[in-house]
Amino acid sequence: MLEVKQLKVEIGKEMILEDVGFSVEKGSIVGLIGHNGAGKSTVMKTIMGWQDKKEGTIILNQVDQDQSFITFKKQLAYIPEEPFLLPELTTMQHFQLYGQSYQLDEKTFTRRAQQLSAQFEIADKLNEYPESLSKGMRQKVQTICALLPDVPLLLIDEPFMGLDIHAAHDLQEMLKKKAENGTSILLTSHQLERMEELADTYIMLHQGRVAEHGLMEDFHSLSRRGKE
Amino acid sequence: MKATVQMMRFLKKSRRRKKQKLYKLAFGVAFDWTTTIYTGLFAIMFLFIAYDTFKSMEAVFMNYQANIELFFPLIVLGLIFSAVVLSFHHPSLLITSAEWKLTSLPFSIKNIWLYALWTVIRKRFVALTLMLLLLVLITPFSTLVLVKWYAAILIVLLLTVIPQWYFFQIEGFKKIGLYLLAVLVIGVIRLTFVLLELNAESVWMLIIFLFALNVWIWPRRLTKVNWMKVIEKSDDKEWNMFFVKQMSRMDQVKQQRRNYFLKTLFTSKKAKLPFPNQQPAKLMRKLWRRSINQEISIIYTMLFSILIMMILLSLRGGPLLQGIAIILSLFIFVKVIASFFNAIFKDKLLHSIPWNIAVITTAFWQISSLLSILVMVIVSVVVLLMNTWSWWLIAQLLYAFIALFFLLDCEIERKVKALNKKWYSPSFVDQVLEIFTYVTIAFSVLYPVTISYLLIILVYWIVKKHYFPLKID
Repeated sequence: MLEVKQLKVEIGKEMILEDVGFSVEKGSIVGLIGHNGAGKSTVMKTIMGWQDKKEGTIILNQVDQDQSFITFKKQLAYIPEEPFLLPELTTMQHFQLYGQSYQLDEKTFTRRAQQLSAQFEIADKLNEYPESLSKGMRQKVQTICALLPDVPLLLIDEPFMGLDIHAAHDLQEMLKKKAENGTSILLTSHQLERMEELADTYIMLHQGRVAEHGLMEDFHSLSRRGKE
Repeated sequence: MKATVQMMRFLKKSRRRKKQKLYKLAFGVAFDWTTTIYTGLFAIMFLFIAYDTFKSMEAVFMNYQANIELFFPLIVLGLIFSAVVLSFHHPSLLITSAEWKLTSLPFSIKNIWLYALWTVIRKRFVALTLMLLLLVLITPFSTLVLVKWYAAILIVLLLTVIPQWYFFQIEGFKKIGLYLLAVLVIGVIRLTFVLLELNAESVWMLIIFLFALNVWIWPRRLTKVNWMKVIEKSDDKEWNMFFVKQMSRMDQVKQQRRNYFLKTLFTSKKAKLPFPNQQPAKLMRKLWRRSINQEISIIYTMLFSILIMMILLSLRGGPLLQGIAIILSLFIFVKVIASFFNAIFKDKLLHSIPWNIAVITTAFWQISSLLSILVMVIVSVVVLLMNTWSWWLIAQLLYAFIALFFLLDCEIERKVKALNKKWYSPSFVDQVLEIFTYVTIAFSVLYPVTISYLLIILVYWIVKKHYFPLKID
């Protein structure tokens, strides 16, 4: 599925990621853990292609990011920590933009858009512009956009930030279901309890390097041991 | 008022500190101690050299001094006119978002505005006084003359602050009407000076007129103020630090438009409706329009440059020069439009989703075709006006038109391939054919037979599209 090999990222003269390598298997949920500045967001940005890498390869389903970026991107969807919606498009128009980009057929798109809008309680906001929505609502719109297509990989940066308890719970259930259906998920979160409930494995970054990785259960016992 | 002044001073101090830090960082990039010391020494040496040079030219300066007196009213009129023109872009007083936020605390906007006025007056006074001192020190002009000019210019500069603020708030046709009225009044005043042979000292009449205008505006200064626009322009001006931007390459970062909230209030109901699913290009067209609108000034500049270049090179005579004007116009157009094609992918949201290249390029072509027609209209009008009408001429223009689409298509295809593949390098055949296309356009006015190259373009284009289509989607 997703393979990140010997990833090296520099910003200016500062090394942000050094020899980072990991893989995300089909249908698994992997938690990217680390303190602020550990390099979690840089990993996400590099996979998304926002951040140039100095060395290394990123391969998703045998598609190399450097060789065929457009095909590479078709296989993933991203939910950012801060929503970045376009001021010129309404909620529904955002959904349409995603639907078109992932080439969903009209029937599937309409069904999923209606279902997700009802589930996230924004069905009455479909013709609203982002400015007239609260931050939580905007986060919901951004989340729905990414959940509309069925993609092999979901990248999620702080998925529960800004969501109310019900929406966060619903999202958690949805992500589990997506994983059961074969979607791989790479997520970052500072909410460790949710991460423990959701993720199968974890990768801990420290100062731009992979410091630790393993099963989430082991991380749980490690953190307990640390407290004792 | 005392509390406002204290708070404004505190704001200014903090802002100055932040700017100092930024300048320090930027200077750290551009200069080290050695270059700073050398630059300083050179600046001092330059002042001495300038003083010596000006001293040796005393006779020339005295001659200028006698003649320049005649232009005195013209300079004053120019200053007034420049304030009218500037009122289109800048409110003259800086009320940034930081100052505006103070109005949500117990600070009145009236007092903040007064302080901003005082800041502008002080700034202009200090800048002009320093300039006077420099001129007194290094030029041989008579001090009396310099002081007379200084006094008049200072008064005019101070008396144009409030009118510029007031005119800045006026919008639409009213503003254009006001601009035309200002041009008319200034023209009449200039004519009066010439016809009545008024001497330079008569500028005091203009100063009285400006003073009266200030008195009239004063009670109206805070009515009908477009605060959103004032804040946006003030923020831009306050943080538009050229040197810092250059050093940090922030000059390449696109400025965000800020008045979206007001814009959405006036958006029609139709614009809020979902797009028809059968016409996917409609949504993308909206995004392309948005992207191009953000850089519309570049389009205006490009069209204006093409027009000027076509006219100037055509007037120099000779069909070859006119041919060169056409290829330069097409080259500029193709490069600018192709750079617009890349701009949309820099948007965070659009970067994060897969690119449906077929839809994206279709929508882009729909927009750029209109612009291509506009450019070809400019080129054709100039060519037809400068040459004797003939069917050959029409064929040449048609050739240029088709060649333009061919060049644009090649350029966009290259951009798409570069987006997809990190290490993409363009094909050699494509590049050679493009160079030949430009060359044949240049010679087509001089040797109409060169347009037979069109055949090669068409064959190549058809073969490429039919047998080697862009398979990225």
